[in-house]
Amino acid sequence: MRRWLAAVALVAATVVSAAATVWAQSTTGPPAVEIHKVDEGHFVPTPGGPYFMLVVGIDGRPGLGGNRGDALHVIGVNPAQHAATIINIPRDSFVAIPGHGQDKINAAFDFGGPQLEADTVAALVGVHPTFVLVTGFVGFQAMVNDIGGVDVDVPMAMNDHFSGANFPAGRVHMDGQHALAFSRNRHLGQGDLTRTQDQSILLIDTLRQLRANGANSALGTVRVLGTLVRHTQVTGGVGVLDLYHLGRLALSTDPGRVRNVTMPARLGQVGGASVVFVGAGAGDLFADFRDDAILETH
Amino acid sequence: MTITAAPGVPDNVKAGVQSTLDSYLTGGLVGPLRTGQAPAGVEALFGPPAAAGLQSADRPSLVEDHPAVLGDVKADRAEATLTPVAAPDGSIALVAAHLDVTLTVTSRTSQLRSTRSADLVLAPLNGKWVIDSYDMSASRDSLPRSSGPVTTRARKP
Repeated sequence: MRRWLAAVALVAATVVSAAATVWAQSTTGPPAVEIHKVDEGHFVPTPGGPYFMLVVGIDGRPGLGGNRGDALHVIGVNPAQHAATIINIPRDSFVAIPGHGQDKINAAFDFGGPQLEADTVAALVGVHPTFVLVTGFVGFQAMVNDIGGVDVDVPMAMNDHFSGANFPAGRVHMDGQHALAFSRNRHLGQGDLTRTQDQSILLIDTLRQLRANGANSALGTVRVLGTLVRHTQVTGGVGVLDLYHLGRLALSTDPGRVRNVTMPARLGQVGGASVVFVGAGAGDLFADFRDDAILETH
Repeated sequence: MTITAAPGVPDNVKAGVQSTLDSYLTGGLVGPLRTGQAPAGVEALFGPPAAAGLQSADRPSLVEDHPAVLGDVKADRAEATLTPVAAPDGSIALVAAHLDVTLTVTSRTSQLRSTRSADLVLAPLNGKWVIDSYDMSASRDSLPRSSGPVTTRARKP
């Protein structure tokens, strides 16, 4: 697998009056995001048509062994309506993994990396992600700090010593360390389901923050690109222009028009292991989602 | 077109972008305003699918077509500021160009001011720098004035 070290990417920003130039510095830490282009055979871009990607959060910290997708978010963007939907897939969802029988959905990443995780999600949801964005814990903090932190709408007060998440309910400005703690806390509400939902809240609030900083213009996107690309690795022939288009797509989305929905699920057990079964209504949810990435009836 | 670019931008990149923007200025804007003829050679300056915008409702924002006034054209302003982004190998992968163009057309009896402000993103394609995406607003104001300025906007993210 070919990887670019995007750490050396740079942006030269020119200001008309001062002609000042900012050369982005290389980062020496691990990437916060890996972007994989998958399933090109399925991707037929149509002007204004929906666009799907998969965000996989992995617990890929040094010393922890294999990488499993601990958080799965299928994101559908409708560029024509500047709207999007995030469907959160519980990590323990017991589903069919192509070529591997039935297993927890996060095992697909361990079996076959981003491509198999994308194939598994495609079989479940009925959409084919074009890109898989893999985020690990390491490197995440630096990226959030680089964009000046994020104002997060914390849905309920948190006081969790495992993750370090100690926040009142309401809007909280978080630096990288706090954002990481917020996204890792699963000792509240419905556990993993709530954590997955909170991670999507962080994604939406990051989008809101970037747009508030002017990133939804072409020039603004280019400047943000210069920051984000320093924390990004890309594979599968993803180029800077792809990243630009991906950024434009995301940043042109109105955060107020992003739905954050968790797949209907019910808890159960298989062979003594706790799993999550796909719940009643999931099929209808996916059908509503896959035609235009917008939920009209949910 | 007057280009402002960061120090360190390779001369060949700056020259390539300048060539595209100059061709756009003369073929898409100045030429039609001077002669009334259709914009010439502009399609080749856009990469797919941005070129499709020339055949869509975006066209009046992107180029001058059938202008209300023909005559001598004066460029009051024609400036572009370049923000390049480099690929990991150090080559420039794309260039964002902020464009400000104000043209005044004067005939014996009337005058037209055509103003454009745009953010363009250009990328290399087959050895040329082509317009990959655009966000452009165009405003036309004529004298004697029969109505206020007409402003249109075209976006291809």
